[in-house]
Amino acid sequence: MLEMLLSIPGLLLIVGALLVPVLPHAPRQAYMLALIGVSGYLTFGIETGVHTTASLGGLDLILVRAEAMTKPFALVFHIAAALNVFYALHDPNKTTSAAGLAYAGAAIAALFAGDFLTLFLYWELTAITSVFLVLAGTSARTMNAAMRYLLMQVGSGVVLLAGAGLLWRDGTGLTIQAVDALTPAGLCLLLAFGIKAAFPLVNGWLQDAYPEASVTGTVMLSAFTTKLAIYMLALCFAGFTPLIYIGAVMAVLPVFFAAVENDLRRVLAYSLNNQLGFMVIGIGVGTQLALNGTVAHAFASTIYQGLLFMALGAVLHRTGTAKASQLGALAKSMPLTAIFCTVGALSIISFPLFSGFVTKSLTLGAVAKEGYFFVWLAMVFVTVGAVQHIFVKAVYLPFFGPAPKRVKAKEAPLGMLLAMGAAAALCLGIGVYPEPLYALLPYDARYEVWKAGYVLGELQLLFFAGLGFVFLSLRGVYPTAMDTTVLNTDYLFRRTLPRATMAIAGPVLRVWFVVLAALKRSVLQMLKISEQASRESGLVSGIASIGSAAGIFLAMFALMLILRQVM
Amino acid sequence: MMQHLPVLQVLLPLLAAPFAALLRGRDLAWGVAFITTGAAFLISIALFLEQRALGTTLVYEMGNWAAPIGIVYVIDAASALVLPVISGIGFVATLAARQLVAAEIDARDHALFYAAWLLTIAGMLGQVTTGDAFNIFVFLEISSLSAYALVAMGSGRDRRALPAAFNYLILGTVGATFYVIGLGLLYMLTGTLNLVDLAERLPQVEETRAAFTAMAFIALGLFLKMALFPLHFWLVPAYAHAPSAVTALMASTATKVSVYVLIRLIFGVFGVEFPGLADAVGLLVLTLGIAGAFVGTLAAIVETDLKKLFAQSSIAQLGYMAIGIGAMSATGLAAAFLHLFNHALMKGALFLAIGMIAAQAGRATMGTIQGAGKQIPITMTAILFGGLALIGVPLTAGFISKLYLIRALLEQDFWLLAGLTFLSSALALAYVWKIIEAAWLQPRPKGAPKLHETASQYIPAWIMVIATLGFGIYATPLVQAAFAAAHVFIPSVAGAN
Amino acid sequence: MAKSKNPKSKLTPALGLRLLAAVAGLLVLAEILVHRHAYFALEAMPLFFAGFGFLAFLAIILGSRLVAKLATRPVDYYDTPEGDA
Repeated sequence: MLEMLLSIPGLLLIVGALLVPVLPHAPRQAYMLALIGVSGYLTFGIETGVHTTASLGGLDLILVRAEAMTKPFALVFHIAAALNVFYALHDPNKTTSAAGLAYAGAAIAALFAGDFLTLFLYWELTAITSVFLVLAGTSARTMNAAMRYLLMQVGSGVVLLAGAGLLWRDGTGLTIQAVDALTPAGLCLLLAFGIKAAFPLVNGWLQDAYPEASVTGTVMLSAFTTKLAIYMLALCFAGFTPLIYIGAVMAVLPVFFAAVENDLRRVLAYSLNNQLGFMVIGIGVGTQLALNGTVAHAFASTIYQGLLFMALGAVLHRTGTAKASQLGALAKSMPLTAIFCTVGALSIISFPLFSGFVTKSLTLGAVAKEGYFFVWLAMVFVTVGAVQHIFVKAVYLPFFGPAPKRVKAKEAPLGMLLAMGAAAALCLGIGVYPEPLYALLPYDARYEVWKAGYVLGELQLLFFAGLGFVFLSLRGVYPTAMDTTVLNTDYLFRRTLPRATMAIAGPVLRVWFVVLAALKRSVLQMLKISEQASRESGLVSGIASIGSAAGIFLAMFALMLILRQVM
Repeated sequence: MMQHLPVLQVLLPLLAAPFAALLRGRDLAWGVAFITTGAAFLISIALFLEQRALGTTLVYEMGNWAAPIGIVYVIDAASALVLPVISGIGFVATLAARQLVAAEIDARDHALFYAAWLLTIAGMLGQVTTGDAFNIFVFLEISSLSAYALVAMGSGRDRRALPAAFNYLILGTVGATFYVIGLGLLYMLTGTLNLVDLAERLPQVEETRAAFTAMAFIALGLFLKMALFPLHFWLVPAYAHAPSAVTALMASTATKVSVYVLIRLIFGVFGVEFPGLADAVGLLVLTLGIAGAFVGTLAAIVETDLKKLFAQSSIAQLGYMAIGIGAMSATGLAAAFLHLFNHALMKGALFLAIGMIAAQAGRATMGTIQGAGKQIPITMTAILFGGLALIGVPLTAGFISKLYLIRALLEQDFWLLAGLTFLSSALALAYVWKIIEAAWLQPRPKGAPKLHETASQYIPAWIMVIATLGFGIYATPLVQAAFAAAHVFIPSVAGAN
Repeated sequence: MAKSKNPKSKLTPALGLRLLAAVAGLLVLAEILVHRHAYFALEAMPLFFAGFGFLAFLAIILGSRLVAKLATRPVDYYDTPEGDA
């Protein structure tokens, strides 16, 4: 039992989470860190290859298998889990702690799943554990957002199971490996992964639910689900060209939505979405360099995206709002948070010497090498987009811009500062000295990012984008954020689908009601007849049922005879 | 001693029943029932192990009169699997009955209650062990008549138990009559009622209309007894208004025994090759099974009384067993046996837990359990696990049986049906979620009576929950036993499992 | 707007602006000294990245106006039942 607990990565965290609710506050935090530490140590020692198999009703399951790509993902998941514990040091909510830990464990265990059935189990476990994080939110919309979130997440699992079933029928086996996307099974799997990776049209849940979670919950959510989906896409669909264009759309569209959105945590959710687009592009290109880029970018972005969510979460925690229109000049009251947040922003806009630069450049280089000009252009464009919605809107204006009204705030609590400080140090560390990260990557393909011309081009891009902001501000046409609901693709599920359903179901329902009324009439008629037939007995309900039972018997006997004759 | 076990299995509760009726004082009667069901459970386990070890059929000849003149008791892989279900549930339900019966039934009636209780169990065990078709009818009537009486005993607390019991009695009798008419036809055609002889002689007359009619009547009578949609309407009121202990016992066993008898007669006597059987019964059972799965699940979603809710869900679950039968394959039958076994466990857990709530609060509705997750967490968790098993969530026994059911359907390329089965299982999430929401996400209304729980109240339900989880995690021996049971009726083919 | 009115900042807006402009100017000048290796013809154009960065920023603001026009609704849009909206 203990051996199994230790041999399946993540299981220790899932099972260990059961104990979290019963521990008092301080030992609980120490206990969770210890668990993550032990789990990380055990996981990091796992060599590439198949380790644990099992058999369930004639199906061969691979419980533990490591690919070349597994280690970096497992490492960053452990880092994120540990940072989350620090970040939530002030938070006495036991449900969030336990769910967060189990969620991290499920995501880690999923990385090591070697077959689709095992994957399905953890896939659904991430859905179920993570919904508690959304539920921990405090706004009035939390409950509904959580239900919509759960529906999409569980739905993704159901599609995954369907895909696995189709694979099994085709006799290809359930092992997770490269899958032909243009088969029914492949399409199912692509859709299942696509939902969790927030592909265009199925991305609505991300922007819908993440900003509704609690301060700590959002940070935990941002790390795992989407990266797990990216990892699975990379294992199964590397080199599937349409992904390049899906990824490009995914990267570009959120830029415009983020520009309009007022809720800064929602802006970050859009930004998370377009970072995922970069990774999907890399998977679509599928060369060794591109896949290295995807993995590296997933690693770095988990940390800097987490850092940004942490910083704006800290703002929400201290000021009670994360609305751009109500924030400004926070750098004076929250100087450390401002510095850390700026580091996160510099990373995401891929400023040289910060982590985004050394990882994003791999994918960018791979795309350029393969000659996808417009995709490459789109990726450069998206970098400018990040300058707009992250650097200017989410960091510069709230922390350094003018204050719309006096906002009283204290510096973030110590735990948050520790987590943000560590994340910022990692961003800077990776940016300055990326070699250890490069060494972790699955392939040997390398890309030289420190070429003077390349650095110069990047700096020009970023500074002139900044000048664009100055230009528009001076002309007085830079838009101010306003409180609105921005329609996203979840509109399809929240408005279009119900309308269509009602349009179809309305007439059907009307017919059904007519049939129902007729049935009711005939039943009442039967009741009356049988009541008259044996009035003396008096127990009406019993008599009526006997009448109908005899009728049903006869009908079924007739049906049997007919079936026998016809078939 | 060992060679007498097959008959002791039935005889023990049968003889203990009048003994219990004569005893005064409720604890004595309960004690007799407890010891008897405990012994019956041990006997069934011994029989199961012996049968599995030998791998052959154990035949017991009453008074050393060999078949076809004498009556034989037969323990083969199928009956060996079903006996522990009935006696085991009977034992745990008896354990719980002490509290439930004390709360719900007038003390003067306790002796009679336990007598009827033992008779029901004896009747069900008899139906499973006997090798004679008419003997099945006799035991069917023994168990049914005492079951009507047990349901009617709910009238002290809930007057609606009387019409429900009457309704159940009339319909049950109609079902039994159909069965016995079918038997009469068979006897007329073949001159025997021994199951083995019947199977041997039937092929000579299988083309006659009388043979088909006999088959159809027997099947129809048993459809009613197993509450197959649309002959299910006696079940919900009977379960809902019966005393809680009776609901727990019957929901887990009564309909299951009829499923077993149906399999034994349809496959064991008539056989899959019987002309018209695959078309008339197979197709009908598949259609009605899936329809029942949807009707039961949908009805459960809108139901607010918990006993009715899970009674409706039983309709759906019986639908799944019917689908397994209708698949007309070894895997299908194995799935039906698995689900028979697993569903007995989960429904036992659910109704025992709900019974404890009903015994305290008078009724168990969505209102009663609103916000109850904090007051009686252990009982509510048992209900939660039972509900998850009903959906078929992995790591519960429900998952295993659904898995094999879907495999059986896919083997025959019934894609649509597999999809529908999956869909209806997923729908079950709706009523389980309803309970989760009421119990944990809503606050306890002001003025609601305080519920409490003690170990003796939740331990019976948790025995079932642990069994559900145990057989969900470590399912291999059970799966093997189910396939062995299925191969009694449909010999194994190379490649099946 | 944001840059121009922030009197309490130690780094006065005017100074900040000048710094930004100075760095940008240096980066333009550096183009003469540093050779940029290009994959695409367009990329090889002098000052491509500078121009693209500036124009793209304007394009994003322009595009977001379109989104604002087409896809924004009152903040309680989804909370009001269908038909009232």
